[in-house]
Amino acid sequence: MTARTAGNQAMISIASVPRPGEGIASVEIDGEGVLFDPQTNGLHILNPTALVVWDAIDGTATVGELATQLAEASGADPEVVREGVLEVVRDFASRGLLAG
Amino acid sequence: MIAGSSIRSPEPADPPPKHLPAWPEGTGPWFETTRLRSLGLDVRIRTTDAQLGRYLDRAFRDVAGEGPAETTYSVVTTGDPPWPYALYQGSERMSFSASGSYVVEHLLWDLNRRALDVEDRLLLVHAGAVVREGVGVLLPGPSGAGKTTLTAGLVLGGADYLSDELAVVDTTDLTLRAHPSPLVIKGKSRETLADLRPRGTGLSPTYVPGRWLVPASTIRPAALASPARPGLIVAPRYVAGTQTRLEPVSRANMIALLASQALRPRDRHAWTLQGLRDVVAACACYRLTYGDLADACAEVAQLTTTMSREQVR
Repeated sequence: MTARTAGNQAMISIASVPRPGEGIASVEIDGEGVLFDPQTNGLHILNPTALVVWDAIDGTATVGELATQLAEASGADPEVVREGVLEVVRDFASRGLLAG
Repeated sequence: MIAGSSIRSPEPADPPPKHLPAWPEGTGPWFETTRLRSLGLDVRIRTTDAQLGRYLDRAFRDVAGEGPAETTYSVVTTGDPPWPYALYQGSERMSFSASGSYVVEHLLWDLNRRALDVEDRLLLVHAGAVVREGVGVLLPGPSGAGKTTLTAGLVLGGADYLSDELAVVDTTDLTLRAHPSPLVIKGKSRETLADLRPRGTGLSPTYVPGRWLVPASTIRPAALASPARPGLIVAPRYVAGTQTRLEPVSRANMIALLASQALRPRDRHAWTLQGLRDVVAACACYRLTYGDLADACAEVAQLTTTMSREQVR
């Protein structure tokens, strides 16, 4: 397993391509998510918004593309969704949940 | 999640001897316990100290089985200084000590280690487990949270006992399995549960200082439960002097709490998390902060009574 470190969230931009960290296990319940990171033994609880973003991250789409997809699916203001997705992905990075 | 096991090897009470004595030939006579059989445990214990033997036989009576056991442990009291106490597994030396409590501690630790060697379908969580009015109740939490005290209190109040310290979930049919090893009552819990003090064994505190091994069937006859579906998870937290408070907990939070107390090999995290999710999805989840055992038991009893009535409807 490749070592992962908590990333610099400022490095995440709208053009970044986030990829889930290797080996992270996740489950959904009542609209919330629980992630377990075996590298750190860390447990993370995702609110419904963060869970939607986590589930959408596939290692190929940019943050901007993810935001567009989610805005289209939800019918919400694209600019608001863009800011929200960027914030959530940066939070994932700061917690070391993303690869690279 | 706790990788592998939360159980640590006891720290030696004294330095290891430079020259370990050989197997003491002609040692005996022996007191032998019945076969102890539960989860991965399949052992018999023999000891040259009859008082200790009787104490262990009584402590583990709820996991007593018949027939020959897979492994035999021997606790030998040679009386020879400087290492008068020794523990063997088969003919293999496990420890020698000047302290009787050290070898018994080592024995109990190894019994726990063996119990954890279970089939892949079983999920193990650091929790107490009882059945009340047909509702399987999990009581998860870290050491010192008051799990054992609450488990014992509930059994005293009429709940049936599945396990203490180690709850066992069969993921194939989502049931809580029994692992009725003795409750280990220690610290201030001995004051709260003073009536459960083992009596009539005459055992010297040399072997088990500061704690009691209490089989559930001595708390209440016929207290042993059959496997049950989980319906309620209550995470206890004992805080001296506090008013008892019961609060709902989100299922996501409860999965995280259970995951922090789960025991699985390193490569089965996804399986473990999914298993915990399935358990939690079937349960109502609460956190119980308590300073009084009777109040805490009443809160849990009220929940199970309500759930049981709802099931009947």
